[in-house]
Amino acid sequence: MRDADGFDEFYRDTSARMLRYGYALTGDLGDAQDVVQEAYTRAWRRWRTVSAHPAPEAWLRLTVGRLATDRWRRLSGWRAAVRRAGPPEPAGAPSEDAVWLTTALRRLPAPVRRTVALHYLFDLPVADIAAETGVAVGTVTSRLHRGRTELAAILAPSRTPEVSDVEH
Amino acid sequence: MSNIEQAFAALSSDSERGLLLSGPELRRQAARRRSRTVAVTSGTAAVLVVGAVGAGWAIADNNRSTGLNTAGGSAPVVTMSSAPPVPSSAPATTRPTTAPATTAPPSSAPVTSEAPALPKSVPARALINKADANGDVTRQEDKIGPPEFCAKAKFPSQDQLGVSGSVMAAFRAPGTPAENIPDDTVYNTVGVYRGDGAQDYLADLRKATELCATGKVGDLDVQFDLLGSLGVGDESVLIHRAYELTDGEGNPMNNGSQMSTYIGAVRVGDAVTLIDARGYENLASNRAAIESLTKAATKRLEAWRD
Repeated sequence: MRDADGFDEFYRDTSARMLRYGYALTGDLGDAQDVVQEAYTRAWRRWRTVSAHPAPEAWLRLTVGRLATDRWRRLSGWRAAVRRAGPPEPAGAPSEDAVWLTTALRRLPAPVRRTVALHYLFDLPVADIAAETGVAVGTVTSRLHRGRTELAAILAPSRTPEVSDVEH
Repeated sequence: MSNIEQAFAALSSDSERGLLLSGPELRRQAARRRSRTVAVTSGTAAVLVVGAVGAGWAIADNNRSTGLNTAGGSAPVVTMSSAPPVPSSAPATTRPTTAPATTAPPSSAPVTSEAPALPKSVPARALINKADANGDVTRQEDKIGPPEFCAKAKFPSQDQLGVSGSVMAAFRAPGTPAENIPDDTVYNTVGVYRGDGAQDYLADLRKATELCATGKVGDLDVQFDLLGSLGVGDESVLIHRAYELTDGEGNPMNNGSQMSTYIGAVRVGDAVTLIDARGYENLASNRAAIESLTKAATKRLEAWRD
């Protein structure tokens, strides 16, 4: 038997963080819901393996990252079916600041966006991000620098998402 | 706090609008999806429908996502759509894809006198079945050609192909419960050849393995190596295929670890049965399991052709 209580506890402890991560990667909270639920569904199917993983949350982040990047191809059929039946949409309208950040994040290349999200949402050290994303520490440092610079340039002048002609 | 930190704090706060299933409900829906999945391949998502909006969903707040939000204590109502599962998608981008089938020659090509007459088609009993795979087996409408190797590989033997048929199996190791995800995605193709086509196909596979010991298959760096004979049929070959595990962005995963998959091919007279195990998502193939499955496929072919 798989350890349902253990899975539920893990899910309870980590799913909100994972949703933030999915939100940062996809830029859409509804998409993030789909991606995160799918990732945990896969985790439950392989729970014996995932729970024995040295870092189960890292396993989830990898899966969320992969699904978020490739979400339309991997999830389009499932999403279409769910939407036909009237799925719960995120409650309320997004906050202005969240829209502001997701708009800026979307302008970053996916690997840079992922690196920045891992840094700011999970407070992971550079070495851990490097291990998790399978790149060298120097690459992570470079991506973080680029991400910070571009986000700061986009965000700083007027805190509006319309600023698109910033010189880099 | 910097602007960027403030922005991420705002995003975190905003994510609390999100709705997530409770843990128990997610597990229940996963089980329902599993039991209704007909054909599972990498990248395939089964159809799931939430019958009642809000049933079993919880706001994604750390303090509020701990329980089912079932009013009155009743169980959430979750139903499955009557729509069929989503058709199998193309293999994941991290795996080699199957080369297009080669056009068969005209039926007037010569047939060796000692070989049985070419059949009109390959019946299901010549291919692995659900019992062999311990998982669902789906007949493939499109022709499946030789496994994809690097550009140097050529398969002139396919000019001698008379008839072929393929199935895709969601393979599970023996004893693995049906509700578990598959251990492997396996394609089994049986081809019946004219002349020396079957022998030539095994020779082509060996040559392709040597020519493509290292090389590119699509954008992937792939290594092939011969693992020898399986000791079944008239002749056989087991091929190891390895490539770097990558994520959806094409970046290496797990510190550049390799993913191993296997190709087993067995000739029985003028026919060849080929097992192409491609792994399941990011799960590698198990050599012993694929050897065993290739032997089971050989028995199916022998029972048909004999």
